[in-house]
Amino acid sequence: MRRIARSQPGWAERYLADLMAAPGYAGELVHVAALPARNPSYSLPDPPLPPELDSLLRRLEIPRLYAHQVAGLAHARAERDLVIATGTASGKSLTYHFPVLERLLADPRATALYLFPTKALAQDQLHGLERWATLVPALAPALKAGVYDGDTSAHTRRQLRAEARLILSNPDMLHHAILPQHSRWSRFFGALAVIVLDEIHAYRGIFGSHVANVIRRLRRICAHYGARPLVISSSATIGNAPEHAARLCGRPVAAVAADGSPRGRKWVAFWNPAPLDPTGMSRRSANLEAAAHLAALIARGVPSIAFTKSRVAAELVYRYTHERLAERGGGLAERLVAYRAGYLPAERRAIERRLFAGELLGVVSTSALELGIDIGSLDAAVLVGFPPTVASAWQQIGRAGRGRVESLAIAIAHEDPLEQLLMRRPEHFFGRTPEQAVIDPENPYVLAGHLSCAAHELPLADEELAESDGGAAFGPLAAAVTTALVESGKLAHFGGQRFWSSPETPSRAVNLRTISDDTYTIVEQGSEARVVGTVDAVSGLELVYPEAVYLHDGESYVVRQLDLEQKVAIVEAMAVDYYTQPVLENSLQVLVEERRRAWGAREREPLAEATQSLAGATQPPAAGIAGGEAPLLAFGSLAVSWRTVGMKKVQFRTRDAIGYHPLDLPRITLPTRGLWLWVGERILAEVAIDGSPYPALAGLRNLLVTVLPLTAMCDPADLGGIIDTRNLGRPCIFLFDRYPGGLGFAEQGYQRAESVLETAAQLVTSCPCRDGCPSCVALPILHPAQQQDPDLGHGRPIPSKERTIDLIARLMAVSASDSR
Amino acid sequence: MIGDPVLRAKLGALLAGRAAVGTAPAREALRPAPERVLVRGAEPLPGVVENTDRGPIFVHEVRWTAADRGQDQVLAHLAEARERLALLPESDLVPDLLALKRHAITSTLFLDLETGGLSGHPIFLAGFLMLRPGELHLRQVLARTYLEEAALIDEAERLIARHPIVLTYNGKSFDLPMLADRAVRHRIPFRPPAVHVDLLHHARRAFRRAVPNCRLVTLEWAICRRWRARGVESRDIPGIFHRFAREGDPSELAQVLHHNAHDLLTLAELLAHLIPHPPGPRLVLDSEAKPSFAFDHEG
Repeated sequence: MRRIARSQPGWAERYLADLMAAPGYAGELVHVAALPARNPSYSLPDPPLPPELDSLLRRLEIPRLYAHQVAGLAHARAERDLVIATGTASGKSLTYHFPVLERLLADPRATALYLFPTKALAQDQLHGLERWATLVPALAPALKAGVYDGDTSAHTRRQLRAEARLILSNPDMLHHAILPQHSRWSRFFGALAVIVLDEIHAYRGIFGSHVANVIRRLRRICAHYGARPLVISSSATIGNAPEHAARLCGRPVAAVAADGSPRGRKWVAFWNPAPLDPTGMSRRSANLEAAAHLAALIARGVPSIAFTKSRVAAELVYRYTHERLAERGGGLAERLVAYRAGYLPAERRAIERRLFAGELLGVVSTSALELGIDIGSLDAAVLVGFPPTVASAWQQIGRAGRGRVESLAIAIAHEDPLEQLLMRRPEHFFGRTPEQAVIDPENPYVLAGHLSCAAHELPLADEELAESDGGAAFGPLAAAVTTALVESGKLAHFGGQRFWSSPETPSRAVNLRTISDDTYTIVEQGSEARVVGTVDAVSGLELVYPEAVYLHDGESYVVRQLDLEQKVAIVEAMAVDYYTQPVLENSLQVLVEERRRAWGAREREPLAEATQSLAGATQPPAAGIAGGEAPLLAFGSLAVSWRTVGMKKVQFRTRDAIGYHPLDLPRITLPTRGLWLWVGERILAEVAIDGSPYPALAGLRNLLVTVLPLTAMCDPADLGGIIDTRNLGRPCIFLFDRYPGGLGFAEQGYQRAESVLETAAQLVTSCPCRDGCPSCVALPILHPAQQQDPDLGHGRPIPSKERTIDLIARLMAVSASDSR
Repeated sequence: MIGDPVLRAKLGALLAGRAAVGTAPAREALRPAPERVLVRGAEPLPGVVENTDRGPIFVHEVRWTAADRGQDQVLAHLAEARERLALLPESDLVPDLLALKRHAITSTLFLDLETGGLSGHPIFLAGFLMLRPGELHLRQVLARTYLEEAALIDEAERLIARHPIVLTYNGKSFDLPMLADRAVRHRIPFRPPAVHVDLLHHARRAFRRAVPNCRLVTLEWAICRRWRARGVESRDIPGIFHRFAREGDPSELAQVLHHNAHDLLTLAELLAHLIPHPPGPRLVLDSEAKPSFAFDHEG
């Protein structure tokens, strides 16, 4: 059925041995780890599966179910919510499909709802289910399914609401379109038997906190129509899958984590491109090295995937690999494809078909593929640089390896201080546990939005908000937040119920994500306009500015025109020998200082009341906070913005810069709230190295971004940290929420700054590294820019651990002496 | 996201309080919200409270005859239209008109709803106009708070069940789906009307070349030749209701009742204008023309 070429046993060891024996090998292979094989563990469901599902297993050529799949089924049959947290390619989706299908077969009225973090995932799963219905026609009545998202036509929506047994959607659609109109869904929700949450590791931080509340609203509405659905979640390997699932659903869950699927031996190799000169300051291009590996693997018939950190890098690696394969001949170049989120659905379908059929041997992708789109497994994964989290890296590595076949992952480092550190000290990678997913559904700012939505859907009753043994669904702060909403006139209280009391629709004002869903369409003008691809609106200004070279599928296009209103970029196909990189300018502006206090003082002794607003101010606001001896802390509204100010032309392969042009494009602004810390002139001077305080300030900033999430219950990616001198005339550390209007993260940092610093101190002093590492003062780039080529060396230097510790010690001395 | 600075400050205080106590803060007891006090001295709304199985509803009822100035014109037009309808051969009539012809005039119910917003918001006013020989019977049902909506829907359902023909303006897109929707929310069984005539569609066909647009208020002056004194704007009505529900000042709401009554009267008069004259010479469209259902206007 899956006819991907099977690689020979021992092939990975041979490949690595051949690399080391090759002439010109310069010791790039700095580390090789071997993870042992694992035997499969099977089990039988008891009672047995219904005949339709047995049929399906036969048609899918699956002889037996794995132990974890049967365990999942057992929990579901016993009405226990569960989370499936086994590894990549362990048959997770079957583990949730089967309990759903059992119920849909047993009860012809029953319905099921599947939620995915992206539209693409929903489409792919639907595709799979439709295929099942053709394989086993007896399943067709249960598999009356459809995707219900922003792209679904009005006609199909009506049909699905009226007739569908199984609906695939995403949390944004549920929040904006489905729940507020729940009376149209009374049939579907009234019979809802199962909710499936797939890829819940994507629901972390701010997004996860919102989604958790959307799930609570969903269950509440089901209860209104008389249903109490089971919740089945599936997660990639993260540090805390069962806790995370429980927090997301609001109920305890059983965990299925023992992976019964077989695994062959897995080799993980670290490859550091050779230095170009004796100083070792610059190295060979990681993109080119990756292309060499990918081409070599494909030439040996090994199905392989390469992951890059940005879209541009994916296109470059694809291009270079294609060239090498074309030189070899034999049609190999046609068996390589580039795969990323900007492709149209039909294109993605075509790629998947060809992969399954064994026509394709190589895929180049950004991390879009981490999110479970089912391409089957491959035998080798090439990581071009490391993704921001250890969990993501293991997911990428996990893409290689099918059944008992031996697999290989090669991680190639860029000229980036962090990646070079991992090459020197691999234990910083292998020794780390995957990150935990953290959410805070009870954040009052988040709650206020969702309680408003909930009240609009169905009035909030006293019993729902009051304490009971099961706990209020929305948490202990729900009553207080609701009272605040009533006092502000948003809700009105009548007869023990709180009603939404405004003509606006509250879900409109609540955005689940920080980036908007807006996309730019990229169109090639010719005799007829042809849509080449799409890009999200934030990346758009950095990828398809006028005169940009847009790479797609190995072809190059030049952007002729960018229409900001219509969100269309017009491109013209043109063969060029260079690509472009935008030059971005980040800036931060303090709008209003709301609060200020001395470092170490308690909050109720503010130095100044909230005063100046920006309108009409000619001087920088909050003048006076910086420039004094004493450390001060302030909190207020900020605007953080990004702008593409120019464009660099870079030659392919050589990476030579061959031109620069200024550009004039609009700014993207994030209005938010944050804190800023001025450490005082004395301390600033004392921690400077060669007159610069930046190594210490950057180290502290990175530690705060790492440590504040523990207090504020957010994700490090939800915070931004900038050292800025322009606003206040002296360098200050700014920390802000990456969400419009802020969600209280930096606010909590302001309230509890001294204890956050203590936690930072414990972290950095107990870190066993010598000079600083990603676990303490260094910070991985959490938001890789899709338009940037990491091969051009944009890494920040690792801050000085020693100076950072010094800075922290001096600040703590101030708060110790001032505390009463 | 949260614009109101006072609300934001309260949420910030909750955040700080949670941090102070730790991860398991004491649950705050639900404070009883202040009861709404009706504004003193304000003129009360016209109407009475009626008790139903689902609780109280507030009803404003008026019966107009030819002796009432303003409504006499409507009655006269309706009477003439009824006579014309009686003379029209059935074969010439579209289904809607046929239904009107076949039923007694007392079988018709004009309906117009006012809501607290677009979909997902409650209905707070259901206005009905019924016809008796020589009499217009207005019955407006008001939900004074969100709690009274269920009873309002019940009453609407009852009236619709008693009248085979329901007439609305844009009711196919708005009023009836809205009623059905809110009924589902309250779990009240709702039967759609036997015949639903949406005058918007007929008005568009008949008048679109004679008027700038087919909004009801436009047709009111262009076709019915009636002008209202300045009243509430439609788009302000939802906010007025929510404010009344929270604060209890009836003065703005009284205007909404007027507005709703006007709309219903215009609806009735519009029907009269839309019933065609018996077959005769083809009409030429002029400003006084009364084009009809039955003729083809392309000629």
